[in-house]
Amino acid sequence: MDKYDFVLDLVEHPDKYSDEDIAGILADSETKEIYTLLCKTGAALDAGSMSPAEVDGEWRRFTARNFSRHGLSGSRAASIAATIALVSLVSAAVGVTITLSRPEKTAEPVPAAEQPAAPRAAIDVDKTAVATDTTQTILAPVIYEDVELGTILTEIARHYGVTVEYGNKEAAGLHLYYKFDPTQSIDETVEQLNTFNHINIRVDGTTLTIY
Amino acid sequence: MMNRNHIERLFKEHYAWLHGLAGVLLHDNDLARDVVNDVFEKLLCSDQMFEPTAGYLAAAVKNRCLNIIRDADVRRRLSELYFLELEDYDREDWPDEAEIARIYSIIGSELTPQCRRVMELRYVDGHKFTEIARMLGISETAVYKHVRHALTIIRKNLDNHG
Repeated sequence: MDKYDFVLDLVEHPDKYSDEDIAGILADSETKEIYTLLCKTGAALDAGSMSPAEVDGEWRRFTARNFSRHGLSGSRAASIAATIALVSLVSAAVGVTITLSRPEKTAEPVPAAEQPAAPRAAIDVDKTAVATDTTQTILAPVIYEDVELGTILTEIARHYGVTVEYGNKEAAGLHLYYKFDPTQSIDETVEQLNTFNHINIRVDGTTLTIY
Repeated sequence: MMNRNHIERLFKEHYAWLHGLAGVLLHDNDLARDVVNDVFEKLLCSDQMFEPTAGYLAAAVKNRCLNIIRDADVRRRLSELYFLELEDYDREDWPDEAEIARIYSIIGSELTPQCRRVMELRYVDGHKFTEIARMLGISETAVYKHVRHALTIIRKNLDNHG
């Protein structure tokens, strides 16, 4: 075997060689040089460029992962899921009490079972789900999909009869996926919203302050 | 948090070349994509006013790539065509775009189409020699010879250019 053979064999079948063998073979500077050249050749072959259409595709994939129905940046997803029962997009029809009629889900007649069986909504059954089996339409949950916080808060404030003040205007532009349960207290709602990254809301009497 | 428009602008401006950089280091498109996505995900959490430079992004990508390489043992480094010493990534000021471009042009001009195809199948698509032999209807020995030949040609031409 000459040096090229060694290099190619090392790369194709590295498991054939012990650490000492590898060190021994590559101790030879020319052999090492050939290996390095092969690495650079691999790099040259991989140096392609992406078309704008491909970049757009990557962007869509990025948004699906990071601006997803589970809320904002991934690190909070778990805590968000724990406090907010997510509803399938199928039931975007607001006003339907919790019973989720996804075809593949074994629909339970009990309205409280809005919990999808899917593990990603891994949540202890939200108390709010139970509460809503006595709801009338006006107190049914409101689902916001990729809606600006500002819009959400305006509606929530109207429901609770409070006003909204922005200490942090940027926050108003944040887009959320959030299910608002009108039957819960304002404190509970604010607590849920505060689990989102970069949302900090305080209740002061009849004012919601976003800071 | 960086808002969506801001991150979108940065993403569309920088994604392609960052992916290229990661690809050149890792020789793996999927891994490269993970690395670059990771960098942008971290950007999401940063301050709205933060405007990363190209250098910042390149360093972020390169560091993540080096972490992956660092975690690979010597056998894995061989099979993935990583440099064996991490210092080589710094010492060579890698990736040396001029050198990559030269190798790429040698591949284009000095190798036969079949030889080029074999190199792509092996080192871009990651097929084994046996698979390449089957795909091209040639013997495994012939595949091997193409790769060897490519290396000697590239090496000779690079030496000629100094």
